[in-house]
Amino acid sequence: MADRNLVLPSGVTYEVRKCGDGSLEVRVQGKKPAGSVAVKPEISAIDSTTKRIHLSHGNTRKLFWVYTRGSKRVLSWPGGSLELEASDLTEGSAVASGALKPLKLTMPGKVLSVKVKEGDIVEPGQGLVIVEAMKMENLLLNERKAKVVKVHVKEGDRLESGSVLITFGAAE
Amino acid sequence: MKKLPFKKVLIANRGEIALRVIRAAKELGLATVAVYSDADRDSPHVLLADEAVHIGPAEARLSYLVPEKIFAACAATGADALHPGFGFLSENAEFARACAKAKITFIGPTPDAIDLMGDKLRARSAMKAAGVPTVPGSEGALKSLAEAKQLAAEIGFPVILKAAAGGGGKGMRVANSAAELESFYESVKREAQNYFNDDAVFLERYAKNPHHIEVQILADSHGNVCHLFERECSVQRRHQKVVEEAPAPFLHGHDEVREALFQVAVQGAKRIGYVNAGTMEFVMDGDRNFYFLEMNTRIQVEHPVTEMITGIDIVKEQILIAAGEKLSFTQADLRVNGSAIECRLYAENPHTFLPSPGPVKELVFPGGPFVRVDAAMHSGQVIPLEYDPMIAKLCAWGRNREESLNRMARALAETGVAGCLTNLAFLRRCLSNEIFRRGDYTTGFIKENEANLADPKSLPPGITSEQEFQALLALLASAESRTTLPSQSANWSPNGR
Repeated sequence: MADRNLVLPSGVTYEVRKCGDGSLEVRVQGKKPAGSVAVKPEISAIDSTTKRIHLSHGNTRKLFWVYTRGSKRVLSWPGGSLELEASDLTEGSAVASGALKPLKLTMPGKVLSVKVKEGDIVEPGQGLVIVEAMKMENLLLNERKAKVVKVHVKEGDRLESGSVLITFGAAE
Repeated sequence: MKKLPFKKVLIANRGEIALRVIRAAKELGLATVAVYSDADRDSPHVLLADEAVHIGPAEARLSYLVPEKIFAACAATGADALHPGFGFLSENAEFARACAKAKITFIGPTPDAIDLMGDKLRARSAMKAAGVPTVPGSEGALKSLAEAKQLAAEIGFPVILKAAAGGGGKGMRVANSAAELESFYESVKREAQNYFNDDAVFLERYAKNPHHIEVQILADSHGNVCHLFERECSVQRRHQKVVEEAPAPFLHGHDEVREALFQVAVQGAKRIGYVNAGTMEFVMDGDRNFYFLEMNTRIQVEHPVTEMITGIDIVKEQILIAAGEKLSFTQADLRVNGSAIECRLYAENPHTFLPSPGPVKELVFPGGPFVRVDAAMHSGQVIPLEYDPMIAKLCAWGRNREESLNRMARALAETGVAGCLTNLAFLRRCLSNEIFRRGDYTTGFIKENEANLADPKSLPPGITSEQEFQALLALLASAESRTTLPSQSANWSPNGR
């Protein structure tokens, strides 16, 4: 019975259980515990959005940063970074899967052209929207076969990162 | 210190390259002037220059790209020389001419050389005439889609559509079929019009996954032309370089090819009477046949790797050449010493390679022997949306390739950026990739090895790395203690908008 689930960009779900002594038991969903670890974080705030975390566990002591912007968490450390949605870190153990994810913008941009309309059945790899961002034209491609339920944008729209462009439903 | 005909250099650029020029100028005893937009008020180049002049809003077309504003800054500070860096006005011949008219020494090639090489079609003909091998393609700008299709059918797919006035990976698309050609034709024309104000496009045979090899040239105004050997820049995504090496691993043990390449490059530069620093770019196929791609008439982003293997400060040479000095060395003085690599640290999603600009809350750079950092940022800055989201160039030198690669990998693991996503994890995977290590990688390297380099879905289930695991623990720990921390209002917005 996990206290929390955490879904990574790799699709791996971690189950985390808090033990009585303050340590955390972490396991990959459905697998043997990856380890029960006593975590002793020392957290200091850089500003209202960013925390610096020194983490001791076992014989290691490492530095991490967590930056919060809205529902996003950018987790970084010397040598790498990782982005998570706050919703990736869920209470309880139920993780929705298989739902058709909406097409979202991962950076600010301007819509140059919309290639599909509501009701279209779209195939994997099909071009959906052309967005201009960071001076490049980007053709956003469809991932899974689906029906276009709603197109939320039109040509010329200037959008923030995270904006939903298209929502999908099952292709019958 | 040499007495130069100018005293004060204005740098018409931003970021790490502006800083790079300031450093060279200071070492030569010259005064320096930075220019900056609203987005760069606190950028390192502004703080390090002797003087700094504000030239307008963040949008480059209203600031860094406006010659009048640059000239006003020269007038206000008495700058009598100008270094354009790369991008922005660096390959604008009219601007170089206007500098001459204003009695400001332009630190770069002649306007005519910029014009000639900036028009890719004329550049091709000039190089052909100089005996430099070129890629088969259209002789002039394409007049219609029909012409493009016919030509493509003759030379065979894939073909690449390019803006005649383009560069920097913008305004080009590879078409594998007539259908793709049809769908890209208008979009390339539109990009060409939007970014280069010239919708002329042409097409060339596209060598699928060639090696990208380039030769650094330095030429003085006394007719001396030297090459500073080659660089290999085949690790690219979206036609933009990410990792560069000197010398080229693909030419290891092929000195006869390298000599031929150098000879052709020097010949091409001499033929057009080139002066100052320039780079001849070539595509090379698997059999090591090479073809002229383009000449960049400016300093190149990846020039540090050449500096590291030759010991020559290329930017300093640029300034001395512009001052009328002779090159301080001859070809025979130059030797390749060891091996160097550059990694471009970008604010980008390591899986999709899409830019991910944001705040840089804390920045930790690597140190130690033979590591060089050319940074565009410091802690507390926000990466502007308006420009290339490069944070820094990280370089390492070694006595041989193995040593430089191991040193680079070590340095990458020391580098930390808090606040935005970076391509650090990608760069590290690249450095440990077997194909990369072997040194036999092409421009198709990232695409072909995406599973290994980038795609998180292909990572094996389970805990994929000790660091990722620890990072998760850190996040969990911070989430646990959320209530004890200052409020987490999302009070940051890009550029304060």
